[in-house]
Amino acid sequence: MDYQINLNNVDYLYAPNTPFVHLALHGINLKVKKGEFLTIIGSTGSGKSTLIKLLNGLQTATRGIVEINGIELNSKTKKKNLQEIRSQVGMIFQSPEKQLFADTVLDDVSFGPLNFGYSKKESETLAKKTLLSVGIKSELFNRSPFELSGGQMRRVAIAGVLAMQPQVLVLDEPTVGLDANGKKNILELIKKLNVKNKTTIIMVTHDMNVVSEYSNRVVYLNKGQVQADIIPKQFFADYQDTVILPDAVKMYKLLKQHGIVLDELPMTKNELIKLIMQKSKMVR
Amino acid sequence: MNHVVFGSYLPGNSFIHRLNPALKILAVLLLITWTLFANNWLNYGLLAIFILLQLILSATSVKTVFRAIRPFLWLIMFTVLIQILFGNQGTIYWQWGPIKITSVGLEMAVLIFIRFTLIIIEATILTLTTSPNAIATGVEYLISPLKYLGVPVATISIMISIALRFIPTLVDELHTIMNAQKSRGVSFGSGGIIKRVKSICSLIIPILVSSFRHADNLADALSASGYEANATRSSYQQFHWTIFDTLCLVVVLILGILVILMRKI
Repeated sequence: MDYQINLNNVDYLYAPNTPFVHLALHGINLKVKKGEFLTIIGSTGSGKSTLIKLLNGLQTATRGIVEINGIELNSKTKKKNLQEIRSQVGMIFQSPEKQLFADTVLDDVSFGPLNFGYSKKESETLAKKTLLSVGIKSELFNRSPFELSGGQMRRVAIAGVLAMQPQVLVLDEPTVGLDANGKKNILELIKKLNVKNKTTIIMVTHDMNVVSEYSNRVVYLNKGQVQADIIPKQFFADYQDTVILPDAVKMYKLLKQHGIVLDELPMTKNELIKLIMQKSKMVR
Repeated sequence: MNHVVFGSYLPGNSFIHRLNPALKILAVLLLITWTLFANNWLNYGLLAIFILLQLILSATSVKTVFRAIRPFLWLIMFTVLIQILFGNQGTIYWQWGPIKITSVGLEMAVLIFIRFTLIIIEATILTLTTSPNAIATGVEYLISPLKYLGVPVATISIMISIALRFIPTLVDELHTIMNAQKSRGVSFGSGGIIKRVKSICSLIIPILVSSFRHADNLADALSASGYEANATRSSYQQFHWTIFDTLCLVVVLILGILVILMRKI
């Protein structure tokens, strides 16, 4: 079976040979297929950020094997291969608007494609297309990115990565600090990429509603180790008492306390409504 | 923080850690001055022994010292090379046009190398054993006489502590931005000159924007908590001048006299 991402028994030692040494990841096994929507959860310091930095060679594993699209990533990986992988694995960090720097919105978004060898014209075409798809209108293209609102800056920064047309998109809490609307827009955009383009999504999040509503697999990291790697429905059934639950699951538990037991554990609001409707029909 | 480098602080409880920060700053300034006065093997040797003593008293490993010198290695090597090639006294060993290697040139080069190394180690011992806050307090104490001349000593001191406080924050941010730009295909330190300038811009502009934002937020936070620039304030961390501090100062002064007496005229 071809895996797009294959991590085999990976350890990561942070700041070796200094007093600050710390084993950030221990014995990580993770295999991801094309088109999956995976969320990574875990408390602060559990190794989430370290894990995602291994996926495009920003950090290399201390022990174990990291393979992306069949290319092994380690300190000996050739620069050409590394660039190839970075063009395939797009990485959106927390508050990505901090990386904006160009004179115009269009220049900033074309920066990635240009670096990966597209011509100036191709890069601009890609940038325009991507900007429109994230909801930035063409009259903003020649404005300075620093004149935009926070939500717009975030979308421009995300477009800067999407314009590279990555096969895998890695996101570190992409919706932190956005209003409800902005949050929904970005999540829907990511979902669309996943469904329409079969882009593999790996998202670090603290929002359990995102886990239950959007992802089809959840990896729970604890102290640098994979504690669980299952589908969200199973996860929230197994870990009902240890993690904060998504709204739909909370509702399920409340109903249960009042003697109404739904047939299944609902993951989304729509599922919840459907299950309640079924139950009420049965009662009638 | 990722690496132990020049300027970072390693917490500890050695004899040198416990000295008064004002004394440490003053002593380092004096020792650097003595190093600049030194001009022969004898007084350099004396200073080197003294610095070795400090390394032992501050429980600093040789490895840490080497890490601190490493970033300056090129600068030192360059200066040494200039000394070797353009020194023009003493016996000539090798000559090519105006460039010649002479005995005095070689000797000077070695002394310059020692001088640089000693100064860097001296400064490193200070920063390794003194927290940024303590350094700010020490500077404030040393410059406090200037307040009679109308210099805003307290403000300068808080400026220094804020600047020191934000170094790790900005370094962290720089790492994040670097990672983000690498993910967008920038490979720092390669390509033609225009490409290189553009890659550096993609770091400098975001970090500048970010530091202005930090400054704004911090100014708001200070005003919101009622900070007044010229108010007299006490300090949570108190440093007392002990007999050991006096003793150290005396030793450093004696050392200075010895170095000057040993000077070759």
